[in-house]
Amino acid sequence: MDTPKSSGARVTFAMITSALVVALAVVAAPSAMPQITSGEQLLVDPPVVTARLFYHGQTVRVSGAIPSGHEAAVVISDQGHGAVALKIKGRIWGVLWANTGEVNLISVPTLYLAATSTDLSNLGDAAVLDHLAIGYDALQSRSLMSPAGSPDDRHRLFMEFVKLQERGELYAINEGGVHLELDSSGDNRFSADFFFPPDVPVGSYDVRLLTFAEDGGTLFASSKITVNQAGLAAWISSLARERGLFYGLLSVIVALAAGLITGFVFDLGSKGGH
Amino acid sequence: MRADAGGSQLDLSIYLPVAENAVSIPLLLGLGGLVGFLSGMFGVGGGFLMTPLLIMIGIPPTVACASDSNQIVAASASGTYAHAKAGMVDFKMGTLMLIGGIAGGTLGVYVIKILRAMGQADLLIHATYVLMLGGVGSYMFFESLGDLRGTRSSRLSKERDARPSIYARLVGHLPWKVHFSRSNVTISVLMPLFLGVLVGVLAAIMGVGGGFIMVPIMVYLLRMPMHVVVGTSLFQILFTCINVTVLQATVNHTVDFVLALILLTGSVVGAQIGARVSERLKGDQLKILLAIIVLVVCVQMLLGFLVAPDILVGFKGGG
Repeated sequence: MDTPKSSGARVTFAMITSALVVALAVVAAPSAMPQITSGEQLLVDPPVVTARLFYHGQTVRVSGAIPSGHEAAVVISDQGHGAVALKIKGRIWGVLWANTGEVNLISVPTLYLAATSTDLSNLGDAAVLDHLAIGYDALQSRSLMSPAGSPDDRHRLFMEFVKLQERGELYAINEGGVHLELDSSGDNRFSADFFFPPDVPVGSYDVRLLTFAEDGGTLFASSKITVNQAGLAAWISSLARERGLFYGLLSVIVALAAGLITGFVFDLGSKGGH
Repeated sequence: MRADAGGSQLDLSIYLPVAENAVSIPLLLGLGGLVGFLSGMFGVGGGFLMTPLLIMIGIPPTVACASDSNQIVAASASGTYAHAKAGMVDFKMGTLMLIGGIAGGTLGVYVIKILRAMGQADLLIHATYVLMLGGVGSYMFFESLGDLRGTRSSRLSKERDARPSIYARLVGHLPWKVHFSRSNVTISVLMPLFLGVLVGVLAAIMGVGGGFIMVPIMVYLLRMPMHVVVGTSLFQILFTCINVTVLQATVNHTVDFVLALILLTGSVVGAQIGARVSERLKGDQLKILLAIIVLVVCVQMLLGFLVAPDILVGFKGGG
């Protein structure tokens, strides 16, 4: 019979491999300085989001100043050059739900986080919002669908895609998420917080500050935010991409060793218990 | 929109560099332990259970499949070691079925390509899955239940089995008979080769490792003892998953080593415990437990057909 002590020791031993990797993950990051664009102030803090092994998302604050009496919107997104392949689910024979087809969405951003100081409808009419690419309707008007269906189908499928992205926190529109405040010198200060979930892909994203007045809206300032990997996470990711065969063999060897060593240790434990 | 990353509180999640997502470490250890336990106990790889669970917690489907294969290497190595030490692995039978399985897997890849070109392949695949799981699970369940209860129908079934069936007569006429001492059966080498091909084709079509198809085939068609079946199945799964892991890492770059490492930390321990529990149970008890798991998966898949999804699109590759 196994003693509780030997059982605990075996479990501890099995954890050692992952604990070593976890310990190696703590690598110092280069500190990122807030970035100020030329012209009007648009502060993105931090301007670089760094994913390490213990990264679980990051809150990014966008702040600055806009003219008095204006409303503001902040949009963080990428250019959306690629295509997203989707499966369409529908009813078959009126009873069964299954994949009934495929569709490609072209020119949709991977990330679309927007915050506004008031309701979208208060910022401007549909033409203004479309011109400044604010809101899901504006995103849809910039996207293509292949094969192209009817306008109703396109809208329905696009909004289903939005639901999918919202569930993964990669799309969000926060009406009222931009906070406006008059400072002592009479400037209209704004700030908005955005949560970057851990599954935001590595890359560079545009940060746009849009301001709105009675006569319409305008792109007031822009900046960039970068998501990258560092430390052990970056090393593993690059090894997987660039040296696939070596990486695969290494993964198999570690798995084999872990399996056999654990088997051996459990075997010793069993014999020790008799 | 969530504006708080929760950085100040203790967070036991870890960032997966290939999956590009963060997942709770205790959750992964628990999943690994559970699937490893089932693997060690029943001789199944557990991919049919683990891959959907990983997708559910936000791992991209391609990364979930590839990394799961990597962790199954560890769990099946651990399980094979334990069963081999107990003399419960038929290496000769396993090697023949493995050769057939590799050929069948390659054939299955082309079959699935043809099915996809014909359209409605997904429905066909899922329907096959449900029918296979339902049929195999129900048969195993009722047969084992009868044996456990020692019912009259079971005795009659045994008596009927004592008479050579058409299947037994056909198998008996095949050439190149070999005695497999560990399984204590004498059959033609063509049988494990052919059944290996069949499992390989089905596994490739259904996108799973094939352990839960392999086990009933070895029990009912090769007449191997259940305890030897578990170890022998794990032995084959080990090599199949080594092949898949290396191929996925080389061709698709979708193996997430960090994910696999945490899963396998749980699964190797689970596999050892499962193997020991397996040794203490009767063959019929093992069969009925596996039948229940297979039937639960079958019902879950059936519900997926009948219940309307909350979102009517999904990323391609995500089922």
